[in-house]
Amino acid sequence: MINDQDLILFHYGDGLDLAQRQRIAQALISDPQLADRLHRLRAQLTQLDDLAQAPEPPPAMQQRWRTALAREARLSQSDPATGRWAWLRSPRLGHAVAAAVLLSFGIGIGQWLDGRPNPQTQAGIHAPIGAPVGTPSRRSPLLRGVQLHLRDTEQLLPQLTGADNAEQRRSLLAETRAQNRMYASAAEAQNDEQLARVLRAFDSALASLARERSDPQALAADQAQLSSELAVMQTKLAGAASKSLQEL
Amino acid sequence: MLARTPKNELSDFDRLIAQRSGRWYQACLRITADAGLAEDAVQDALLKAWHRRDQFRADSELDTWVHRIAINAALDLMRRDRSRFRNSESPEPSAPQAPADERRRQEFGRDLGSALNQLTEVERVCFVLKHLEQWRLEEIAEQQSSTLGSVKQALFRALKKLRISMEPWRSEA
Repeated sequence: MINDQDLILFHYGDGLDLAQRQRIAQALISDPQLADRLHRLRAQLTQLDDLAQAPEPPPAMQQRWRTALAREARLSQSDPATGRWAWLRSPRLGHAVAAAVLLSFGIGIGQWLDGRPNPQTQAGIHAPIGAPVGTPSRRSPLLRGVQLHLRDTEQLLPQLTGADNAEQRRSLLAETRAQNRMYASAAEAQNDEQLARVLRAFDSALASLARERSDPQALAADQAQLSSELAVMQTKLAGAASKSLQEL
Repeated sequence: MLARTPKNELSDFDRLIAQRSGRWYQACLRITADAGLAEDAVQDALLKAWHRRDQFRADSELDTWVHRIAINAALDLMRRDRSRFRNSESPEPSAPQAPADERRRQEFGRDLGSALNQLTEVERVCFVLKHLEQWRLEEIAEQQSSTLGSVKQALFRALKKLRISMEPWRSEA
């Protein structure tokens, strides 16, 4: 007895051994009803091919990919070693939400840096600042990536007050969460659970931010606070990256 | 052949994005059912491809490579982000003022998309990778850290559900 599952695998030409394929092929010749079943099955499966016709990526999305590539090209020209982490530097961070997002992110990273053991105080361990044992050379590119990201975000600050549309804010928040996820993934890839935890916890904060962003004065205050926080963060990261470079 | 100056190489990538990113994105979107994850997956693949651009002899190689890496990235992102995963987030094409045939085609597409979103994650992944992406079953099992038998059963379940969901359209036809 040849069932539908056998016919499906026969249709795909996969998952059956040679003897099974030959048995079905011979049966199809001698059994018109089986051949008809296969014909109907193939018609149904072909119908599902339309699933390949998913929505095209919006032009803005394609532009974001191009921008990320152009930035990557620029950075890898000036610093080839940063390539591994450069995908973190996508300029997709939103404007309005970015203020509060980066504020929280800055605090989280700041605590993360502050809480890290300084390798200069650990005799015999020559890891970059903040690097977990076993991954001594990979922190610096990540730090430089975060630095660049913060610098770009600082440049976006003047535009923040223009993003007061709720729909736009939701869109920006979604992008910001995606960005945050990338940072968390990078931390996981480096086995840096502490940083990954900070970023994962931060995702929850992001979800609540969109509901609280309707007051222009609060937005301006956040913007000013973020400017200050970004300056502090960049100073910290510059120091950390510099130290880790010296130790490489 | 891909040119060897950074400026021209970027142009090659730009052209490939214009021509092929639809396929990459669609594959990732069908796997993740999440536009954000699909976008991230394609970007991840593109940036990885940029760093390996010297290894590709032709645009077709690069296209194939990015397609494959984007799918792997989509699967990886989905695994890492299951808590955020939503079946209902898959965008569907809108069809205002479309001609009757076009509207019908779009309605069919929407029903098909909805049917796909009724599948479990493993069913959808196995179906998309096998039926739409033509992966070998063994490859899927390896990628999913599963067994060949489990992949087959997930594929059979997916096909059964999809065929039932699309039965009304077959009746009309």
